[in-house]
Amino acid sequence: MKHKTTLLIIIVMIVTVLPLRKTIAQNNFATAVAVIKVSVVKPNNIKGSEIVFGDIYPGTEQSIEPGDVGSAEFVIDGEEDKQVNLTFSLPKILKGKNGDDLAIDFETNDFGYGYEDDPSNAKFLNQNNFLETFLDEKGKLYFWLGGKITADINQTKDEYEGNIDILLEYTAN
Amino acid sequence: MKNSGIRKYGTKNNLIIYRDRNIFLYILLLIIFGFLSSAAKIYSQVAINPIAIYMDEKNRSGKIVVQNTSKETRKIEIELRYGYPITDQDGKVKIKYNDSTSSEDPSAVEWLKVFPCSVLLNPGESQTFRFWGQSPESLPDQEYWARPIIISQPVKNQSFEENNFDKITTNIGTIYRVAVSIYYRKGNVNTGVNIENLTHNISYGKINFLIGLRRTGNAAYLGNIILRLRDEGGKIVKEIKRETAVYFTLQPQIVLDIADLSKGEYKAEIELNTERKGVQTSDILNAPRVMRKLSVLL
Repeated sequence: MKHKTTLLIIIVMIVTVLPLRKTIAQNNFATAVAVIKVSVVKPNNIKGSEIVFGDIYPGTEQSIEPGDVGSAEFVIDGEEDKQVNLTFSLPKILKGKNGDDLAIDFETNDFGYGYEDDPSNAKFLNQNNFLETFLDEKGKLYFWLGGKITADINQTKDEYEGNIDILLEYTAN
Repeated sequence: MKNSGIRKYGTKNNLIIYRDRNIFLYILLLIIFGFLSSAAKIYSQVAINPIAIYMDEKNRSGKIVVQNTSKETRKIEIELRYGYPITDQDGKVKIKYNDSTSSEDPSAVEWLKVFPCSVLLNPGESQTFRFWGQSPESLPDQEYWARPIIISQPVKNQSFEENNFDKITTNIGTIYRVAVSIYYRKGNVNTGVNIENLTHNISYGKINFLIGLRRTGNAAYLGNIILRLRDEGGKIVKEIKRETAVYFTLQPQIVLDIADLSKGEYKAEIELNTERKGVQTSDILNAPRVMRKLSVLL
């Protein structure tokens, strides 16, 4: 019985994990192809995950701090020591499919950045969603974005959409 | 006997080892599963190469390869704009975009073409965007500039199904805009730089240098600023290196942390050179090394 249970768990995990491994392997392979075709210089990647607030209840506020579960995580992986500027254009409302608005707010401490994949060591941005900085000696820069949703007591149940707009400029080119 | 584990491994001690092995196996698989799940959270959105394109009258074309490494189809567009780095009064570098250019501006935007301008890229697909152009003969010999902005945005699914949400949820996408550079060199081009002024102030354990630079020649100065601080014995106690691009004038700020230095007289040494990493030698416009020294009293 124990063998069967063990076997079942292993099969479930393999079935769940294999597609992830395949996706990751594909991404890595694809990146390598780009390097070979174009140049010996490292490609400039921006990777990111989206900010996820989960389910929101009418008449409540929901905040996510940078680095919390659900916050957006980004990493620039490019050429070493490159000077870059990052400018964020952030929405003030999200639009529902039924046409209603949902308020979203980003404050100065909702943006953290750093050179390690560790939001607890992040510095906070306090300058109008603008950062003048550089990539480190490995070509990396990490940043995290939180935010706050405020749902009205009569907020319509709906999916509300919007976009975060990130401008990355190479300033020593 | 249904309990084959006990039957196979016999003694009670062996049974404990067998169970321990199972627990170890579960934990190991959970760690692997957890690692792969967390690895799947962050995924590539867009990869761009290169971030600088050098063209001239012999080589009138260039290309950028954009790859969609995300899990969703994305729309990739390219906008061509004219812009160059400037600094504000605090020495912060920003890109100044001039959408309406005059004949004085060395803009390549008007006669440079890009194809395609816009594509949909499925996950894992890549696209080569080609630039080509020929500078009008009437234009003087010099370097002309453009800033391609690569825009990567999610493609919204147009759903005509009746909305029937029983809760409030959000769907927040990310639009990436990446601004890179094109240099088109017409005829004889050369560059250089002069240090026009150099100031510093000391506060809160830091020296802030403002380095006023003016380009010479008819092409952008693409190089490095190296700032060294030497003690009275000539030993380098601090050194910092930054890439710089002087299109017209620039007054970048460089900050040295001196909290760990003892009081005394030091010499600051500023060097500018055109030794760029990651750029083909044939694309580098060499210029004479520039040096400036000043005394700093801590």
